[in-house]
Parts: sequence; structure tokens; C-alpha cells
Amino acid sequence: MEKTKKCLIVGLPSAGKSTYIGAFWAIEKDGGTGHKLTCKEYPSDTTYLDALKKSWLEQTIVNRNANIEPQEIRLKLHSEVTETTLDLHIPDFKGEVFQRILSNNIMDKIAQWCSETDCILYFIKYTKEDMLQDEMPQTSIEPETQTEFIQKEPTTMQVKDISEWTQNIMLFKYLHTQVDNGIPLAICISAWDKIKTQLSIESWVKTKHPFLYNFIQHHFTNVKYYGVSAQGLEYKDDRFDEYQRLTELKQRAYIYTDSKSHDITEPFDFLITQ
Amino acid sequence: MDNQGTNDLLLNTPKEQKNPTKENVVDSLIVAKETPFYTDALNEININSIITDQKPELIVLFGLNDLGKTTFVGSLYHLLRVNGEMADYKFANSDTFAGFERRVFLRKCSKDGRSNTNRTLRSENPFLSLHMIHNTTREKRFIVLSDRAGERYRDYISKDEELLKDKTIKHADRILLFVNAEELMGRSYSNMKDELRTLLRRLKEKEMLPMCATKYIIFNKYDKVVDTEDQQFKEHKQEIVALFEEMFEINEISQHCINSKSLDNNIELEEIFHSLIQPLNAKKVDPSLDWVKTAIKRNKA
Repeated sequence: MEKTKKCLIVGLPSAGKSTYIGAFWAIEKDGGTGHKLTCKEYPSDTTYLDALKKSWLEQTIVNRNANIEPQEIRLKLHSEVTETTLDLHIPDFKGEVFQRILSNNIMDKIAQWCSETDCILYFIKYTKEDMLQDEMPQTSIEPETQTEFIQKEPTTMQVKDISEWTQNIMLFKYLHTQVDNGIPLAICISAWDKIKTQLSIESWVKTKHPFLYNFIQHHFTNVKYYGVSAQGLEYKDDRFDEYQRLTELKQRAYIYTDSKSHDITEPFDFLITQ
Repeated sequence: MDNQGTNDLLLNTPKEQKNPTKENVVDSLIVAKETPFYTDALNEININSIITDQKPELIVLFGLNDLGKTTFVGSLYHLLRVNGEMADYKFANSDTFAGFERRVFLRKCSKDGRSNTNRTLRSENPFLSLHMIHNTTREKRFIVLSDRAGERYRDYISKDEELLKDKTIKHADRILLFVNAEELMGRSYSNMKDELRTLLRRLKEKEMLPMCATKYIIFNKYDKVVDTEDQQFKEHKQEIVALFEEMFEINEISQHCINSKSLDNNIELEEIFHSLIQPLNAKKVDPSLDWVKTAIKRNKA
């Protein structure tokens, strides 16, 4: 049995969307992993997926073009458990396109995708501190240089002045106006390997980011949280060789819910089996 | 959902906007060109487009410029951001995330010494909203904060047309009367008191003072007062209290001495925030007073 589903991948710039897709294609395209989902057939055009895969394998930064039009990806994913094949249609929008929504600049294609999507895979970049503007280190100003400072530092707020977690809540709020409350929503915290915690991912979000957690709780009813470490390293990391070894073992990327799993198909599995 | 039970007194909009659909509310919030950010602060028209089944509670921050009203709001938002809840109420939503972030941004500018004059501007929308849910009873609270530029209040002193446009002061459920505590000792005290008296008198003449609202006198920037035991300071403070009491024809208005900028173990500030988040007339049940019922329940069991 084959079904077609649309999945919108959402995230601000550098949230890890393309890295995850690159890792996914690199690990899952040839099957044989025993993971929940496998790629049954190759899409007709794999140029973009292969470019993402290449960047991931070579541990280089994904080279995105300046075009704001999304790269359309189609994946045929097969579930051995349900014996179903899913034709997954994914647009890889640049994070900047989502960030523009916060400035009331909404691309028609985004609005259209929001209204048509069957599920949402949302990426949030882990940042060490969730800092508000006024928690940033205070700039000390000598009286004589104050005038110069005033000229250099505008008092007009820009999107970058809004804390990143609030930007995410604003984006969730927009999505909530466009989709049904019960839409399957997988929230992935990327760069999870940098987080040292004994908590489950959901407890971690609840404890560390209650503002976002509460908002999600009250607006979406079908949610699952994942920690995602797709890259598994900082670029130019000195443990390059070690990561190469893990790449060959297909153990560089992993997913975390309440324990570590190398099956990075889990978020898709959750989304499409709902 | 409809907006029955919303604060009709806030409405200053054409009738057709009374029953907005989800779509047209979103449109009005997104398409509005005067607001640069999605979920920015709201104006007198689009505040009424917010759909809720709750009657909003309107809290007005009242005072001339440079009294710390915006900083006060920024601090409230900051604590909600960090803790996700306050006074047994969980934060659930806001229609004005960007509006709050702008207050925090201005607070940062103020701390950096970048913003002595460029604070909440006349043209900025004043309304901010909070949707809260009680941790156990699930009771919902919809709070609307009016953080108008101090310059607008200054305009009210001399411009009737500006004064009469203000629909919020009169209909406030609570009004926070801001005073710069530092100014009570300064040379500008007399001038400040005259301006305040004129402003209050004009509002009273136009029957725009919210006589039934719960009132709070906020002596802000209290940390900057060199000697709070100074006789002159005490006298001036009492004069200001007496002025408010005379205008509102009430004997005891609660007084709060705070520093709205600091969040480090600032108990006085947190106390006032907690009281604002609690619904009006909420009778706090002290568990120790429930010992009779508990004893009866135990005996029955």
C-alpha cells in the first residue's frame, strides 16, 4: 500500500534542517540498517540530496545557494512494521524564509505549504544560553565615548534582537494559525550532543524552556520531542578521524528521546504513522 | 469561539469587527503594515480583534515619561520567560511576543545608557497581552497591559483631543500610578507634583479617572533614593500619596517601593507581579484555615 504525505520541515537559520536531511540520505539510502523506515526507491533526481550527503560525509558546511525558492525533496520510505510505503514530499526552505515571517514578510509558497502539509518536522538549534537582550553582557561606556556609542548602536529593534527561543515561539504561533491543532509535530533540538543531562528530552525542554514548552502544550496536541545530533561534531573538529570511523559504522548521527538511538528515521516514523 | 464576555469597554472599533473569524484576526495581525513584527504590541483597534472566551483584565501603567513603566513590563516578561509561570498561573500564550521583546530591548538600551529619550515612543502601540492558566483549577486569565508612552500622558496635560481619545484609563480594572522616587528629593519635585496634579485633575474633570479600579502607587527607582528616612523625602512621598487619594476619593491606596530594573532577588517587585497575575477579588485560601473540613473528611473516611 502506498500513500503520499507532505511534511513541512521548519526551522530558523542554522537550525540543522539540511544537515539532518544530508545525514538521513547518507545513512538510509542504501537500506540494511534495520531502522524503522527504509528508502524503498530512489527519487528521480537526487542531485540536491547527494549534495547534502556529500557535505555531511566530508564534514563540511552545507553550501546553500542564495535562492529562496525551496528545494523540493521526495523520499519513498517503507515501513516494515506496517508494510506501507510512503511517498514523502518535503520542501527544504531556507531558515531565512521562516525568519522573514517574524517581520510579517510571508512567502506565498510557505503559506501554501502550511495549509497543505500533513505533518511538521521542526528544528530548534540548541544554544547554550537562552538569553534575552538585556541579559547580554552589559557594554560599559566611558562618558566621553557615549555619544559615539549612541550613533553606532541603533535603538531600533531588529529580528536578531529577539531571543532565539522567542523567535521559535513566534514561528510556532504562526504555524498554529495555519494548521490543525492535532497535526503531528516532531520537535527536534539539534546539536543535542552538546547537552549534558540525565533528563528525557521532553523533561529537559519543560525544565529549561518552560515558556516554549507551555506554549506548545496549549496549542498542539500531537507532539513528540527529539534530541538530534546529526553532525556529531563541530566543523574543523580535531577528532575528524574518529568521526569518519563512526560515519562508516553509521553511528555518527543519533536521536535522543529518553535514551540514545542511531535510528534517525524515528521522527519521520512518528510523523507518518500518526 | 466568540468574544462574548470580552471587555466591551475596550471596544473602539466598527461593529463588524466584533465577531472576527480566526482568519481575519490573523490577517489583521500579519498584514498590518504599521507593526514591523509579527505579534508586535497592539493598538486600540486590533486589541479588540483578539479572540478569547475570557473577559480581559485591563491593567494600565500610568505616568509621565522616564518613570520605568516599560522596564517594569520588560521585567515581568523576563520572569515569565525564565519560569514559565507566576503566582500559580502557567504562561500559555501572548498575542504580543514581539511587543514584549521590544520592551526588553529598550530595557537593555536603557541599561547601556543608550536610551534616555528613545524609550517607548508616542507612535508605538501600547497593548500587550498575556494568557495564563491556573496550575490546578485550569482557570484561564487574559491580561491586557497598557504601556503607553509617557509623552502621550504629557500631551494629555495640554491637548484635549489627545486626552479624549484615550479609552483605556477610564476602563482600567487596575491602574498602576508610577512615581519616580528619586524625584521626590530633587529640585524638580515641585514641578513634577504640579504636572501630576494637573494631569489627574484634567482626567477627573473629564470623568476619565477609573474610580472603581484597583489602584497601586508605584514608587519606582527606589534604589536611587539616598536616604529613605530623610524627613523631606517622607513628607514629599506622603504629599504624593495624599494627591492620589484626593483625586481618587479613597483613603488607602496600596504603596509599592520598587526598583523595576533589577531582577536579583527583588522581592518587592516579584510581590507586585504576583498580585497582578492573581485575579482581582481572589480569596486566597490558606490551607491552615481548612483544618475543620479536613478533620471532618478524615472522620468520614
